Amino acid sequence: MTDPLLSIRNLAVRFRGERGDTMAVDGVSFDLHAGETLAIVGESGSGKSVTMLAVMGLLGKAGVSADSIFGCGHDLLKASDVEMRAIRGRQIGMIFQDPMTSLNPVLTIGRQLTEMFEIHLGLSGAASRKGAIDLLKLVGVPSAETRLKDYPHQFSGGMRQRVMIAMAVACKPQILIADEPTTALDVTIQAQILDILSGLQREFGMAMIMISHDLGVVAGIADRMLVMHSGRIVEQGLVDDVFAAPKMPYTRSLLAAVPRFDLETEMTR
Amino acid sequence: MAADLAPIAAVEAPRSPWRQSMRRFLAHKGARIGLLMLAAWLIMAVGAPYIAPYDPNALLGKARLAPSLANWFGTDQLGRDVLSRVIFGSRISLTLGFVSVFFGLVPGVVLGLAAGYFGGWTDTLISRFIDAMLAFPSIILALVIIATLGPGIVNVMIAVGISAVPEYARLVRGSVLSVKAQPYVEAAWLVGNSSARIMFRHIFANINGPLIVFTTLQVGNAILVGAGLSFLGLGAQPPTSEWGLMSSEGRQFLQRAWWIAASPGLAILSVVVAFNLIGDGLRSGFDPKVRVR
Amino acid sequence: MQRYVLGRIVQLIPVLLLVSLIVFLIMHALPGDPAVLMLAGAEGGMTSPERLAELREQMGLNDPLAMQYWHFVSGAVTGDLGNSIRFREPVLTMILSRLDSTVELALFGLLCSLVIGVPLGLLAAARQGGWIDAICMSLSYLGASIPVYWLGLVMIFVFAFNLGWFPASGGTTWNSLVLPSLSLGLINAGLVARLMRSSMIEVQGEDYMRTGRAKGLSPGLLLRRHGLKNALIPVVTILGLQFGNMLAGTVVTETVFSRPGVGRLVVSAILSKDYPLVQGAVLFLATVYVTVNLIVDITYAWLDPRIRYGR
Repeated sequence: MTDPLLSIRNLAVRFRGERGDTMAVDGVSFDLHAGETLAIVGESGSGKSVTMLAVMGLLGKAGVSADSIFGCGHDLLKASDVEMRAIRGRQIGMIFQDPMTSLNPVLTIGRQLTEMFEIHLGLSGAASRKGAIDLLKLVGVPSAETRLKDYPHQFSGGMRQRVMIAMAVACKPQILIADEPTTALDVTIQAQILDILSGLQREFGMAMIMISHDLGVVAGIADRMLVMHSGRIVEQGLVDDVFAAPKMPYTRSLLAAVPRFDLETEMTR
Repeated sequence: MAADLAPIAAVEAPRSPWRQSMRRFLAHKGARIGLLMLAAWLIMAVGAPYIAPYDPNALLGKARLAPSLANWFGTDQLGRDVLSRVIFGSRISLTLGFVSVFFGLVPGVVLGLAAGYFGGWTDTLISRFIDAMLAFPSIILALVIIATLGPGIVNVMIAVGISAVPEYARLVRGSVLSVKAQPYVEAAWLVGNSSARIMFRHIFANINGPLIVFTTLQVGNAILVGAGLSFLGLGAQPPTSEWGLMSSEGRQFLQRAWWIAASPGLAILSVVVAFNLIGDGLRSGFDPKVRVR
Repeated sequence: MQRYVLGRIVQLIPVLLLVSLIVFLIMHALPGDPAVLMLAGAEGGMTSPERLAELREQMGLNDPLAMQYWHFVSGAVTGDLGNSIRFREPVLTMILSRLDSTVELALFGLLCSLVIGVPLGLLAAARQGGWIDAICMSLSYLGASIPVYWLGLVMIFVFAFNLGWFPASGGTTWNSLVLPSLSLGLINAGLVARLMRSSMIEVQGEDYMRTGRAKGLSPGLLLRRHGLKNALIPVVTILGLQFGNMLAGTVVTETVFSRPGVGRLVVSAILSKDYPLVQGAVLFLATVYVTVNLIVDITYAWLDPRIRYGR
C-alpha cells in the first residue's frame, strides 16, 4: 500500500457567529490515494465543502485546526501563503458548483485560461494560447479558437462548467477537487460532465475528490466514499460496500431517500 | 392534572423584527455617537434662550473681536456674539431639516405608492415625471422653486422639501414593486384580503426600513442645502442668525475675522454628521447584511 | 447594443420635454404678476402702467399659457432662449460665454474626487479596520456633511490667505482652478471612496474571486486583474450622477471663488428676478446633465461585456 496522496488527521473548522461559534467541521480524518476517486457525501450544511476549502487554505488560517494535513508531499497545515499559492492550481485543482458566478464576468475565458499557464508554467503569448485551445478541445468545447475571445455569459451552463474544468486541469494537477460540479446543471448535461471528469482523470492519472449530495452521481463515479453529517464523518468505505450494507442509521436513511427501481419496495409491488 | 403542566423553563419570547433592528441600531458605535450629538443640539435648540450667553441680536459694542473667554466664538461684524447666534441658529436649521423633509415625504410617498401599486398608465406617468425631476442636478431644482417663490426661510423649506419628492417617490415605488412581486402578497390577496388592506399591512411594513433611513439622511441633506441657499442670499434674510447667512456675511471678513464665517459651518458639520451617523446605524440595523463599519 | 443606444436616445426626448414643462410651469406658476416682479427687480421699482403693459406684451404674457409654453419650447429647440431682462442680451449667448469656466470646474472637480476617492477606497477595502479605513470612512462622513461653501471658504483661508499658494478668486488661470476643484472634489471623493470600498469588499466575497484563489493567483494579481474592473462598475455607473453633483456644486463654488460661470449666473439672475435668464439657464443645465448621463450610460454599456455582447 503506497503512501496516500492526501492525508488529513483531525481537521476542525470553527465559524464565529452572532450568537456563538459553530463547528462546521469537527474531527475529520481521511486519506486519498493516487488515482482513486473519493466521494464526500452529505446534506447541505454537513461540512463537506468546508472540509476541502480548509484543506486548500481558502478559508484563511483563522478557525482552522488539525493534527496534520499532508498533500502531494507538502505540509499543507504549516505551508506559507506563497507555498500554498504554488500548490493551488498546480498540484491541486478545484472546480465549484455554479460556473456562472465562479467565472469572472468581465474577463474573456481565454484570459482566464491562459493565466494558468502564465502563473504556474511560465508560458506566455502563443504558447499559453495554444495550451488554452488544446484544453478547450480536450473538454469538448467546439470552435475553441474563436471561443477564446468570448465571455462567460456567452456560454451555456454545461459549456461554462467545461471551461471551469479546463482551468482546473490546465497544469495537470495530481488531485482534482470537484465541489458539486453537476448540481447547477441539467440532468442531461450532468452525465456529459461526469464523463469528461472520468476521462480526464484517466488521461492525467489524477486522484479526484467528488463532493456531492447526489448519491446517483456518487454511485457512478466513485471508488470510496465518506458520509458526513454535522461536520463529522459518519461512515466511510468502498462505495459498493456502503451502498450494499450501510452500517450507520444516518447512511441508511440517506440511501433510503433515493428512489430505487432495482429493489422491490411498497411502490413497485 | 395541573402537575403535568409543570412550567416549561423560560420560553424565549419571539423577537419582533423591530426589536432586533433597534438592538442592532443601538449596537452601532457611530449611531450612538450620532444620537448623543443630535440630543445635544436639540437641547441647545430648545433651550437656546437659557443656554446662549447673550441675546443673538444684541450689539455688544466691540465688532470683530477674536474668540476669547467672554465670547467663545468671538463677535461678528456688527458686534454680536457669534456663539449665541450659532446656538439660536440651530433652531432655524433643525426646523428647516424636519419641516422640509415633511414637504418631500408626503407627496413622495403618495406618488410612489400610487405608481407602484396601480402600475400601468399611472406608473408610466409618474415615473416619467420622476425622471424629469431627477434630470435637475440636486440643488438646481430647489433654485428654480426659490426663484418662483422668492427668498425667505419658509420658501427654502418648501423648495428643499419639494426637490426631494422624486427621490422619495422612486424609493417607495421600488420598494412597493419588489414587495408586490413577493408570493406572500399574492397569497394574501387569494385568501381574501382587500387590496387596501394588503397594501397597508404588507407593503407598508416592508418599506418602512429604507424609508426611515432615507428620511434621516434627508434631514441632514436638507439642512446642508438650506444653508447653501441662505448663503447665496436666497434663504434667511438679515438680521436672522441663520448658519448659511452668517457664513455669507462673514465672508468679507474672512482674512481678519475668520471666526464669523467658520463657526456656523462647524455647527452645520456636526449636526449633519450626527444625522449621517444615525442614518447609517439605522441602515445596518434594518438590514444586517449591510455591514456599515 | 445599437438597439440599446437608440432606445436611450429616444427616451431622452420625452424627458427633456417634461423638464422644459417643469421649468416653465414653476416659473409661471407665480403668485403675482411676473411683469411687475421683473420690473421691480430690474428697473428699481419705479414703473408706469404703460411700461408694465409694454413689458407684458413684449414678453407675451397676455397669451394663453399653452402658447407661451409653445414659444418657449420651439425657441429653445432652435437655440433661442429669450433675452435677459437685465442685460438685454440673448440668454444663450450669456450662457455659452460662461460655459467653459463651469465645465472646467465640474470636470476637474470630478477628476479630483476620482483620483482621491478610488485609491482610498481600494486601500481601505484591502486593510479593513486599519488607519486607512478610518480615514476613508471619516472622509466619506465629512464629505457628506460639509457645506460646499464652507469648505471653499476654509480652502481660501488656509491656502490663499495664509499660505498664499493659490489665488482666492478669478477664473482664467490653471492656478485659480485648484482650490475650487478641490473643494468640490473632496466632498465627492468621500462618496467615491466609500462606494469603492464597499464595492471592493463585495467583489472580494464573490465566487469568481474564490476561483481565482483556488487557481493560485497572488493577491495582487487577483485584485488588479480580476477584482478591479468589477469593483469599478458601481462607481462608473454613477459617474453621471457625480457630474450632476459637480454641476450643482458649481452654483455655490463659483460664488465663493468669484468665478465667471453659469452657476453664478443663475444665482444672480434669481436675485435680480431676471426670469428669462433663470429659465433658460436652468433648462440648459438640465439638458447638459441629461445628456451627460446618457453618454455615461452608453459608455458603461459598451464597457460591460455582459451588455455589449449580451443577447
